[in-house]
Amino acid sequence: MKRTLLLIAVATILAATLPALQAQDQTPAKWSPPRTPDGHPDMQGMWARRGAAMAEANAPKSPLSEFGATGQPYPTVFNTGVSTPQAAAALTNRPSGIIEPANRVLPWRPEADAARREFLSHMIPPASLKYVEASARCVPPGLLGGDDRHPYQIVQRPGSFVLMYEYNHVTRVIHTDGRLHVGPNIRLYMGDSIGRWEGDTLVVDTTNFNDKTSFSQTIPYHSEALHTVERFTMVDPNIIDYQLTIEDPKLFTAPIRIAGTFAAAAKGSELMEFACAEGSQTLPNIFGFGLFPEQ
Amino acid sequence: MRTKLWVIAAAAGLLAIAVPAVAHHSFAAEFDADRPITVKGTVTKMDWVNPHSWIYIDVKDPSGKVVNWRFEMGPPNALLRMGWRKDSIPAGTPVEIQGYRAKTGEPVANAKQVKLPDGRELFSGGSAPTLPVAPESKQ
Repeated sequence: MKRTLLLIAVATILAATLPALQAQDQTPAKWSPPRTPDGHPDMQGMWARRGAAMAEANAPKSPLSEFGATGQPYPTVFNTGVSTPQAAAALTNRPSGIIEPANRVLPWRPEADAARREFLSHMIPPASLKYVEASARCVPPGLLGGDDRHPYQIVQRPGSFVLMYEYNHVTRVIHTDGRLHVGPNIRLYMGDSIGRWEGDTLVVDTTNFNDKTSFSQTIPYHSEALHTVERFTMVDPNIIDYQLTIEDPKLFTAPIRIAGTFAAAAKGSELMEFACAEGSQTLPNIFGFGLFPEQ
Repeated sequence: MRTKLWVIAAAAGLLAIAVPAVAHHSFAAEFDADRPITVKGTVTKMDWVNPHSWIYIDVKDPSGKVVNWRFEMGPPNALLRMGWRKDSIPAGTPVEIQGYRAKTGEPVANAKQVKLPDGRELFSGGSAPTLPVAPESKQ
């Protein structure tokens, strides 16, 4: 009898405690990132970027992304392979691509939309060098025109946050020392980036772009009026949440927001040498070797 | 070693993520999807270079003349994660490569798959279709 009472008592206590335990499980303590000596989140290391792309709905057919007589776009079939299985799992259900406007139909100015459609129609075969896509000419990638099969490395110092790309050896030194943007006559492929910390989020404001980089295979350029704001927030050891707001008033009537992820790269990943012209050989493959007398 | 290579290749396949991947450049600008090609030959060298690795092979044409073909492949970091190693295919290795010819008509192509003498097939990591497509892939 005593034993039965004891069991009932234990069961009652358990029943009373369980809901509390479950409630506790549903509200886990906020994860706190490791910190650099100056107190900011330490995001240093190797990363693979995923999802940050300007994949618009109702995009015009781009000759660049067609594959064969069937007219089907060629599938994006290979993985960059630089993220870890843990990071790949964590990427499930992460926001990705254009998140504003929600329907991914971009707020084009009609004349700008018509101009880019006209431009696209000259790209294959390219009417001149200007119509060869920027990446094939080894132009720096801008913020979206790179190739995410290549890893990234983050290095932080007091006063700067450095984002190094394997792709085209781009190094973006994002100044966090309070300086202002360079003067308006200076135009840069990767723009001029100024960062500031809002709590644990690095907010990067970039201006002074030139108009020589592309957004995607259907948006082959932007204007010098481009202004971007990026937000980097480390949400767990394997994930940096990446948000990008794009304003280009010469192309679009409203800002566009893009979401992506920097996922921890596989252990042992490192940036490798990138010899774009030598490794790509796209121009001779398009125009023939006659263009290059030495060959 | 063989098992390990396959496991790595399979893992790379499983990791294929159904978000838009951004390739270095358009396949269609350079290569002709309507001209698939399969060649057998002997590896003369492999360049591990970004943005594309290149594999060179000597191929005998029907008249017996040897032509050196080169095939574009994926970036070294991608090949490495797909199971390739620098010594995977040393010079002298007989291989069979499937791919797509360059539009110029030169002996240049985009590799899709490389078959080794022991029957192993390695995906090229290039910009041509290789793995059985992203839509069904889960992260």
